[in-house]
Amino acid sequence: MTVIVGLEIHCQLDTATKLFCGCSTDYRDDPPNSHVCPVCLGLPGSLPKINRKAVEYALRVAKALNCEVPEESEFARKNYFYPDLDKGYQITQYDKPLAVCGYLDIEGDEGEKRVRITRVHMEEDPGRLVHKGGADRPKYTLVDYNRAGIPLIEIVTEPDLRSPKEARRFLNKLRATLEYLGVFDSEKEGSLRVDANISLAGSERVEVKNITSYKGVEKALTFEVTRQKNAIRRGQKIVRETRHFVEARGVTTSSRSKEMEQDYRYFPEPDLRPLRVRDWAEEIKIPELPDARKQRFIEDYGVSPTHAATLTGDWQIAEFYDSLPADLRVSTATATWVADTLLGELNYRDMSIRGVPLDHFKELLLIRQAGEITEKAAVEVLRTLLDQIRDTGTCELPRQCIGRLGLFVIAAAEEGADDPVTAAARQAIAENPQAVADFCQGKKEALNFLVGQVMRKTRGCAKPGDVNRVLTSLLSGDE
Amino acid sequence: MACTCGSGHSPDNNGYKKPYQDYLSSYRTLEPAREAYPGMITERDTEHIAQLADIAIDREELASFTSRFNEILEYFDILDQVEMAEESGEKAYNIFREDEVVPSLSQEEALSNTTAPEEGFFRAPRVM
Repeated sequence: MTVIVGLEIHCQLDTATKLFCGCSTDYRDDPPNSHVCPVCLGLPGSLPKINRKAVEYALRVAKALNCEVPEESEFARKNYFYPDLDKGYQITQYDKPLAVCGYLDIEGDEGEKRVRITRVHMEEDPGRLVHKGGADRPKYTLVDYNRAGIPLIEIVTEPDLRSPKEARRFLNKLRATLEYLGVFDSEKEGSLRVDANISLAGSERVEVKNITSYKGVEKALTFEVTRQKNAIRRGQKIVRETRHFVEARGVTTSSRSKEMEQDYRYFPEPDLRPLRVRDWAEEIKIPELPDARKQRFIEDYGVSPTHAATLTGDWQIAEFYDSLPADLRVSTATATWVADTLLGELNYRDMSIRGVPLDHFKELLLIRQAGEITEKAAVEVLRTLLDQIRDTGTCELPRQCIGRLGLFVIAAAEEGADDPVTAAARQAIAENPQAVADFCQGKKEALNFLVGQVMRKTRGCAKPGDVNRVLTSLLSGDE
Repeated sequence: MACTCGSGHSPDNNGYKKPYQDYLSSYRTLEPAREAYPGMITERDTEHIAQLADIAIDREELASFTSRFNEILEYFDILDQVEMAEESGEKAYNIFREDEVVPSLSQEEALSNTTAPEEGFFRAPRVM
């Protein structure tokens, strides 16, 4: 059964002030209702005024998504009564959106895929509700309007996606694109919300609302595919409805929506003049986007396509990679280290590249490149530093950490000298007579075992080549 | 706004693209009396809006709200009679403000019109 998915994505634009007033958007750590004014509280007599930067950001998005910008667009009032709207209506765009008819290319289930974008429009975020007195049947509702009026863009795709996985890949690509454009901060809580329309070919479509994370999209859609397939198998009909995603339980539940579209009584916002921004859109320059950067990494740095995709899939990581010295950038070892080791260790700790002192990791890379520590030690240092950041928010300098853990490479001196590597080798030989005997009988694996013992005694700080040389010479001397 | 890009975007834009005028007119046909009195709000309109807003109103209020709605609409009839200069409004596009923070109200000021704030929040009836 073919799965058909279309998405509506709401993203907060990362401006300093709200869409229609000068209240700061930096509200997340502040008390409720401390970032509000007569405009975003909807007090009588107040008038909205459009934030130029929000329009510019939205146009950057429109351009990056290859959209057409119509000659004229305008804001409209969407009327509904719910406490998250103080005015009794939301200022949004309706039949004259900012941009239409675009596309975004993604890595689909069957290779490269073009996902068509229906429209991109601007609107204001509603306030935040806190339901008090029991999750199932709250007694009353508390309202915080700090979020009311934050600029959002809504991006609507055509029903071009064919699996929950594709939907997630689309979102990841979209997020990367928005971050490259410098208009969106995905780390901010609640900065992205998704509604998904999903149907099985030949059946009615269901809208799933309230998806607030990237993983959530795949989870919610996977649940819906199973639910709809099971219903059809049992001979039931899928009804067209709105469902609510309950992230904690990973399920969707049916939610009755009171309003019909006509009940929103959309009409043009009388307090705002229309926009004519097509010429402006043409002048706006957008930076290098993920696909172009990936291509450059492959061509200029010789990075493998898989690593290039990973390294450019997040703007911060791409910037970090670009900031490395030229000889490091072109080394496969560096690409592997950043794309697999660094990101893997971050992932393992559920940490983001944000808030990690990338300069430290650059230094660590340089130290490793210079051969001052072994590969194994570099990973140990990386893990130690990441643990420190996770637990305390800060970490030691790499050299300090390496010194404290005693992980600098121990060089073996010339033959016969009494250096730590030779000392460890002598000890290993003394402690493992069986391995020595095996070696003398020609079993080469015994040498590997002894090398391992020496590496352990030197805590991975000896160079394997040195250990091999020292052991071989000691053992042949014993013979 | 028909899509001209040629890549087959759906014409009705996922159900979005119907001009709001269509909805306004379909809304208006809800009340047959409308045809007899174009532009007038009827008591049934008022009732419908009250339902959407989840507000109970009695017969007396229904009549009162309906006549007040109609008074407001009459203002627009007056406005319609104003003769506009040819050029007026022509250049009024792209009215923007810069992205500069101005001080917000204090929390006390913000909540000063509400009767029962709680922990800095407005308090509203149960909505779930």
